[in-house]
Amino acid sequence: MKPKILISSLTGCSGCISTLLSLDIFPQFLERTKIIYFPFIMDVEEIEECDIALIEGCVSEDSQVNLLKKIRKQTKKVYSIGTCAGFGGILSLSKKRIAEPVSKYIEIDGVIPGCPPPSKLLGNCLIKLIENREIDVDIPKKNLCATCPLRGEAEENFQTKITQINPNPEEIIPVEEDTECFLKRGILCLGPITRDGCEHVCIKEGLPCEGCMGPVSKSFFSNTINFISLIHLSKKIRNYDGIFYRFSKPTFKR
Amino acid sequence: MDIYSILSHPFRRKILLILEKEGYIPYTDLMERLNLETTGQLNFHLKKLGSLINKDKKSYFITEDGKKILQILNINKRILSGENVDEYLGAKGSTISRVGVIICNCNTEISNIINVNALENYINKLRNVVSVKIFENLCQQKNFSKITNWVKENFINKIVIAACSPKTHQHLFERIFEKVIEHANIEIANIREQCAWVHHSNGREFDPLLILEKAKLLIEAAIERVIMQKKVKAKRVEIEKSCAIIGGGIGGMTLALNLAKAGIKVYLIEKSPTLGGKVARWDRISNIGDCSICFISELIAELVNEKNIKILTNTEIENVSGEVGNFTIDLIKKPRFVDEKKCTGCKQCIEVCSIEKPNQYEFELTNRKIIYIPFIHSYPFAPIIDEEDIKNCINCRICERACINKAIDLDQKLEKIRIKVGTKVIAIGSDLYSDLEEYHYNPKNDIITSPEFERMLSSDGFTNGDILKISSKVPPESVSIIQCVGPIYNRLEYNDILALKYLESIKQHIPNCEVNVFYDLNKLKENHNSLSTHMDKKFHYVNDLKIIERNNKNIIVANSKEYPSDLIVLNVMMVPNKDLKILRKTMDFTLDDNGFMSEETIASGIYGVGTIFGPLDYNSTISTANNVALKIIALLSKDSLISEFSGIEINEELCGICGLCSKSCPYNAITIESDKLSIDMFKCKGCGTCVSVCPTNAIEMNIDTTEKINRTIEILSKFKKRPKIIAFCCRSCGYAAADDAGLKKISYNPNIFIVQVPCTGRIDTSFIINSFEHGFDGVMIIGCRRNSCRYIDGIEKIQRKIELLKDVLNPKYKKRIIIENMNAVEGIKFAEMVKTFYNQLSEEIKFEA
Repeated sequence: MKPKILISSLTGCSGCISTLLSLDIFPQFLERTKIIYFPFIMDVEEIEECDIALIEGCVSEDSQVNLLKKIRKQTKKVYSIGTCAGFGGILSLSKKRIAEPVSKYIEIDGVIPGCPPPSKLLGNCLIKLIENREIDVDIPKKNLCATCPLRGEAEENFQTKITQINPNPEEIIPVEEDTECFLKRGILCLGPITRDGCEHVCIKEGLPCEGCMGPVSKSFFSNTINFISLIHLSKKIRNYDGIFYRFSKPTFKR
Repeated sequence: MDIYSILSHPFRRKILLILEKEGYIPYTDLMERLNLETTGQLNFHLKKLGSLINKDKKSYFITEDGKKILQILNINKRILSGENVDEYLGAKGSTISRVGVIICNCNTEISNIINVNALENYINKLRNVVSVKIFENLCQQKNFSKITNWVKENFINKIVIAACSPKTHQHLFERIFEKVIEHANIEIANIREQCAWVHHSNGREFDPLLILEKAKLLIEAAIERVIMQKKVKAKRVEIEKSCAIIGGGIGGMTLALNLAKAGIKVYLIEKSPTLGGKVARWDRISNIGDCSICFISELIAELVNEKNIKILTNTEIENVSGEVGNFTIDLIKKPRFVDEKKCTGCKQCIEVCSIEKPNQYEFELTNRKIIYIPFIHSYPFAPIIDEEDIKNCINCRICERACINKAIDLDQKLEKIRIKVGTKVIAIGSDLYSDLEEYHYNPKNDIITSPEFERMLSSDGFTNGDILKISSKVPPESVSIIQCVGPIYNRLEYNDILALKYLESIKQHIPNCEVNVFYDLNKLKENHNSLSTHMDKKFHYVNDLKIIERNNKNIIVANSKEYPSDLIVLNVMMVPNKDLKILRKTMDFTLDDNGFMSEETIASGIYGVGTIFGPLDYNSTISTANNVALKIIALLSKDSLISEFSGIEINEELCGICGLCSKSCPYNAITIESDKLSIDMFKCKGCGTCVSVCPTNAIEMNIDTTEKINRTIEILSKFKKRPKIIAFCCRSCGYAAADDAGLKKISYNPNIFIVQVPCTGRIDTSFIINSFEHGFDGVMIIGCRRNSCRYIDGIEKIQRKIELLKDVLNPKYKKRIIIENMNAVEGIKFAEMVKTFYNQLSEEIKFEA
């Protein structure tokens, strides 16, 4: 029997849904499952019993909380897709609106992180879900440095003086063989404290990691502080909001 | 129903074994596996199995209890099959925590303030607690067997002692339980210095119930911590009561004598054919006035008479294995071609030998025969042919015929020796700087080095003790000494002493001789500061120094002034022994930045003596030798050694090799080698700074784990009365300051809980956040003074974290984190701080409400 799927969007840019729709395995996905609730492309009001729920976007309204609770009741397994649903996402930057991860309100069975999730990761996860296998994205993994293309031979200590958040526009060029680690070049890269699995999309294009894949194991917040305490951020880039709240909302927000 | 009746039925045992194998198994599959047709029988047995199994989404699995029962079953099976399973039966090896709690009354000191019986009742109900025992005075107990029996009878494998501070009696307690419980499994709840003694004051008493509650929580947290303690890799090593000393110089010999007199078997291993080292060739020892060869020969005589010393000259190290307490060293004794035992030292063989070569013991200034004795008073006093020289021997065998005792054996082969020792000492001394081209070094042209000058002064040297120009063999009218030739390691006093010694000697030999001593400030630039503190008027401190030759005369040009010099002595610096690098591979020690042996190494059964640490004069060498002797005697006086590594461990599955840990390590103990982290166990001091910054939790401490600290925070947060304060105190200073407040019996509010961390650098930001999340109102961090941190800069690291944290936290919390530096005796300051913080927080909480 085909598993019944529910796909719901909360507050967000719907980038994750777009990624989902543009997956090369999406036709196969449609074939092997029965989608019963997907407001993005179909008109259904009622939430029926189903096997797998995929939730995208962060929680920012009370009505969404009710919806989530309903979904949880009717579904066997609930997964959050993307950084917004997983950790709060970019709306955490706002000072007024609340941007909470789904897991704050309901119990979830797993997070597929990324902003948006890399198509390979998302595709693999979906296949696993259909085949009733466990997705293992949630299991603590190594950090981004483990497989980083900029990793030199036996890299000792990186540069401790960080003067830039982003490289100069003219320096944003795809990685070549002799490109140095961002931290060595004095550019802030959150790779050491970010979960591996995104295949270094940004880094390969010449941009440092911003941490969209979420924290490795401890909380993102404390990891960031532990990390930054080791390096010297120059005064002018001490814009902590951008570093801390771009993708996740710490418990102790100012 | 009891376990035995559950297990009595083979069917139920079968179910358990299937579940163990499969993990989760649905009902229908289970029926199939058991070959059952009807559900009734299975239902009955499943019900009987009770709490041993459980059901989740229609699948059955074994509970924790069930797993334990299975362990018992498996062991039973093995016993029946005749296997020896003692190791599994010993409580020490068990994975199930059975915690015994000891509460010490401390002669009513504790029980006066805390109701010990209420405490006992509460603890008895806690998980994994097997037995609680109250002692009148644990530290004064005469009969320890009573206590260890209690441990054995109750199969206790972990112990919590609620008593005084670990600073006071931890070692005593560890000794009491040494035979039955591992050190890591002993946890101390400090209910005296940090509870009973600080929460009662003369006039105003605090609520006794609050104090009781605090004591309860302190003990509960200690119990939880000890439950979480995993097995620390420990090894028992039987100590070999012997010592290998590598290097038979003055340091090695003094040490050997000290140890031998204390009854320790000593192997004195020397690479060259004789004992004595460099000092044996020097003229005399400064400050003492004794001529060095007289002194050394006396020392050697004493050594030779000591039965406990085995002297192995002409011997090199091939391989070392084993660990502290029990090393096995393989040695190669090179052929001497002369039987030491038969030789009488008549030197007839040397007389008759016809082949000559430059004598390396006189710096190749004179020649010697290829069969030779290095110098008078060398030990063993028997001629030798160097292994490399045997090929130059023309095999005339005249020496053989000249020897009356038939001691010469030109076919001697090398000998392999294996020794077992408890410790090893490296005393191979240092080399002398030899790259002297820029000084136009040439003995034939009267520019010589300080060791050559020493030989000149020495009465058995190549000039028979006269100071002569080597070129013309006449006494010089002027001598110039150039100081600090070679790399400079900041120990200039050594050069001063030498120069003063030379000044004196020259004045004795040639009273009219003009002597100038030069320091080249250009070379000393970096050490200028240390120099200015001990400038000596006898010396010239010049900025520009050159040696020129004019009319066959050497002239030193310094500060544009000319000093004619008949003899120039280059006072060369000591540089790291070139053998250190080779030895390092077999001997397991570390080198410092200059290439000398690093003093960090001392503490791990491998010791160093003498100038391998850098330039040292005679007195300092002797005193380090004596110091090391004491350490070795202390180590070898035990029968066995239990080695526990209480540092860090790396989980490679989680490690992404980002290098944050190696960045944060104050001792550079973590390095990245070929895509793998490696920890230098000798350098690691267990401060835990790396653990606090590891983003993937790949590094964990063996004892002070993150899990334990977080659990402690959780338990302590159960305290009801607000404001609640948690204080993270570093082991050496903060915690000691808190104890000091207790010892001085300064009272403060019971609302503060002290959590011990090895170093403030260990504090992970998540501990602080965790504390706030669990309802603590204030966080205190107390570490060492800024420039005296026990772990170099742990306090500065936490300071940076706190600064960042305060930048990001809700302003409300900014005032709720305080960080303070204290030393171990500032109990008064500690108590004051707690009181002020308490008052501040109570005000804020009142305002909030």
